[in-house]
Amino acid sequence: MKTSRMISRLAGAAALALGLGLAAAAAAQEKVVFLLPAPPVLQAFAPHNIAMAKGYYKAEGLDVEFKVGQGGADVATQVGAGNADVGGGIGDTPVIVRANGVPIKAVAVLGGGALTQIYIRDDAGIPSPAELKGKTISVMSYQDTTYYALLGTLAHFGMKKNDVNAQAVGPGGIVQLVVGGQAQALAGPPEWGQAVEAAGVKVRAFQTRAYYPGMAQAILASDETIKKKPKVVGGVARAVVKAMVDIMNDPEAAADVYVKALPQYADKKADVLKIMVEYKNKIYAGQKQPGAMDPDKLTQLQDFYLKEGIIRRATPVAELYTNEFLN
Amino acid sequence: MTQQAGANVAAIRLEFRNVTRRFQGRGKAEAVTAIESVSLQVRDGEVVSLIGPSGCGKSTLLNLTAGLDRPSVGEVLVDGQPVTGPNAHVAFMLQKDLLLPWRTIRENVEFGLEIRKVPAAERKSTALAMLKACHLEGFPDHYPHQLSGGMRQRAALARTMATDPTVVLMDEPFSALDAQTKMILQKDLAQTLSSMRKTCLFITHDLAEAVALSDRVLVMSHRPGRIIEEIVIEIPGRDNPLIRRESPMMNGYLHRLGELLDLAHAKV
Amino acid sequence: MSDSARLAAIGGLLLGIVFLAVWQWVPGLLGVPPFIIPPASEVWNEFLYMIANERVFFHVGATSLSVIAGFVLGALLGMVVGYALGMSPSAEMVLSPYILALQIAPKVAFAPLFVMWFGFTVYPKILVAVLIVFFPVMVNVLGAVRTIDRDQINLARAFSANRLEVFWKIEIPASMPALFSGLRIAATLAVIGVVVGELVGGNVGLGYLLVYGQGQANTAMVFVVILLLTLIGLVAYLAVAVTEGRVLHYLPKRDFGAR
Repeated sequence: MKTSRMISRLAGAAALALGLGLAAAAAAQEKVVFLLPAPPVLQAFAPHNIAMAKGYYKAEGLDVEFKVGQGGADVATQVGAGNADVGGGIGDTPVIVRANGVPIKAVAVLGGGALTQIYIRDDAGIPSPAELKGKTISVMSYQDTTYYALLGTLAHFGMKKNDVNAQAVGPGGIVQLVVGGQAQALAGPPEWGQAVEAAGVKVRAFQTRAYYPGMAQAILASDETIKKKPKVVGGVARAVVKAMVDIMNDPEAAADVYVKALPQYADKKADVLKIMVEYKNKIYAGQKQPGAMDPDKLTQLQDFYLKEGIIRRATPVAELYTNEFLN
Repeated sequence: MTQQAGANVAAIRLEFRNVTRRFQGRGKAEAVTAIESVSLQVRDGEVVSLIGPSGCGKSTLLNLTAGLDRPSVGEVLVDGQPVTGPNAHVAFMLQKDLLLPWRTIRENVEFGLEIRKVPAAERKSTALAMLKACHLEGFPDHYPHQLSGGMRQRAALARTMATDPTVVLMDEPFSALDAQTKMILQKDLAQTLSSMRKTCLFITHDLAEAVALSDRVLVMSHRPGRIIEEIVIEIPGRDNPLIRRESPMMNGYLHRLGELLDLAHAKV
Repeated sequence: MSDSARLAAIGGLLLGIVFLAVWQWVPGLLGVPPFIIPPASEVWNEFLYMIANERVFFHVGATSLSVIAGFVLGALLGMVVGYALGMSPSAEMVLSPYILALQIAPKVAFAPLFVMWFGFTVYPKILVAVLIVFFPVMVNVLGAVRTIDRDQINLARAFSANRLEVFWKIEIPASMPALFSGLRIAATLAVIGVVVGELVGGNVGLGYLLVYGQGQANTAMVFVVILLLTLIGLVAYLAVAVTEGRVLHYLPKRDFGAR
């Protein structure tokens, strides 16, 4: 980790030594590596992209570059090891990885809801998640926070994981199985529910936050980076939260910015807007201060993970987050 | 006195009748005539050597006899029967011993018998007898890599003789051996051929070997190979090449052969 | 001879102890945090924890069985195709560009596709192993059959052996050494194939535990899994090497693993 920093420092020094005008220009804007857990084009990262499109990072004096890791824990490990300045994950991530000694914190949470929703086929005759016993539910994988959210929901209704038939089928299969009718429900973020509907199958959505203290997406930074580069960490946190607030205030305008920034959505504005409204209502809402972590909820979440054996030891809650960068 | 003296009554075991073999050239290369209009006869119990410059088609002659190849023109007969494919009457032995490394010496000697579906017990007794005859009685269960070059050639000889062939073909069988081993093996071969009354066509580069072991020596020309001379070896005692080598007649034969080979090299 | 062997054993043991000591203490002294390189003792404790809580031996068994299945099927397929093409040069001419393409294609990249096609069952991982095992075996067998001494075959033919006899008595045994060097490579590759299949998804096998450990930033678990996988690969390799020693007993003894 130290070597990689040393190399980047050396590279910076070399560029300056060459006396290039470019180096002077770059010095005005600090380079920031922002590691996301999945490709940045996914709509879950709309705030991250809108902050870029609207120049919020630049306004904080930052030149942000997105890179892609292998899911939240990998992002957390890379951020902890110093291979990225900030990372994307969910509010649960610090609870899970800090138990294994990775020194990272959540510095902003994108909403008061849980990212994971449960979508049940309308024609399955299942009025609520309480009736999921014996049903087939598709999930991404058994090591995914969406699966933990399903477990939390089941626990709320007095069920264990073997009371349902949870099928881990990866990103491709999760939607297909519900569309094809082999699974009656899925657990995942709003994009997947929308994808099922787009295939012509009506589903009913249930928010897991009603049953379990799951978290929304979060921005992660290591203890060391927080100490040494507070301007970078705070700048990214504020920029993304600002973009989230933009979406909440005016989804229509945000969708316009978004489809302009990401050409692959150019002719899909209606779908984009629909998912944005879904995020606004179910996930972004519910925070007293936008972006701030709720320590009580975090405590409940950690207790749940401990009880389920997903983590082996609890971390003092104050080490898991900081709200100091939001104002 | 010599075998040749009785040749009038002995049956013809191997005969080439005006045999030509051409090989199709690869691509645009011209067809190559390996041997041309070769006629020869080998009678029962006779040892005939073939000498000639390299590339004179000696190996082609051998393959034709073994039935691994067919003549373009003419006929090859063994015991008066045209050779149309591999057959039980002919066995060969090459410079390479071709012992199969995964078989013991005894199993190697049994190889031909095994393919001819000889029962196991009979195979074994034949193999052991052959090994004894070839002075390898202590090594039936050894593997080839455990034997010296000379011993391996003895094992190859035992394998060749085990199927009791009418005609034995030998292609420079001793050329890879050191001089001393070679002499011993030549002596053993001569005695074995004589005692088993085998008919043998022997290909060699070694003039002294040819004279010491044979009743007759056939000299071949450079490609296309033709037989340009037949020399009858009149030295007595064909079953002991060591004594034959000491004969005052030896030098005369070698001189004559040397002359012929020079001519052969000159593409006569 | 036994003295030098004893010396080598002692040397090996000492090296192992030094290695463990370095692993235990040096990263800490250099300030490398345990979530990047967990010390040896932590990895050992994680192993004990995994025995108690993660059914680690069940996962070892599942991976091992898939490795065996993938290895056996892939090796058989490689042998059949290798011998068939070796005996039919015209078929080889027709097929060789396709075989070459398939050989160059990165087999592990097929894993996500196989999982998509066959679901989270044992089949995708066995299939990846079969594909990855197939090539070294086939290529070695094919090469061996093509380079067999023609004179050995002529010898058999001169004794009137038919095609089948030439195959069983000459071509098969003559290709054994090459087949076994292919199998040695294949044994370790089979482990890679299965693990890649398990990494892609499912909830069984060491590949799953690897993802699971990574998914919680539990580096010690990742280390345990890597060590167990190495052990499986080593056992597979030794099993082939020992079988090879038995089958090829007629060859002069050579140093272990020299070829």
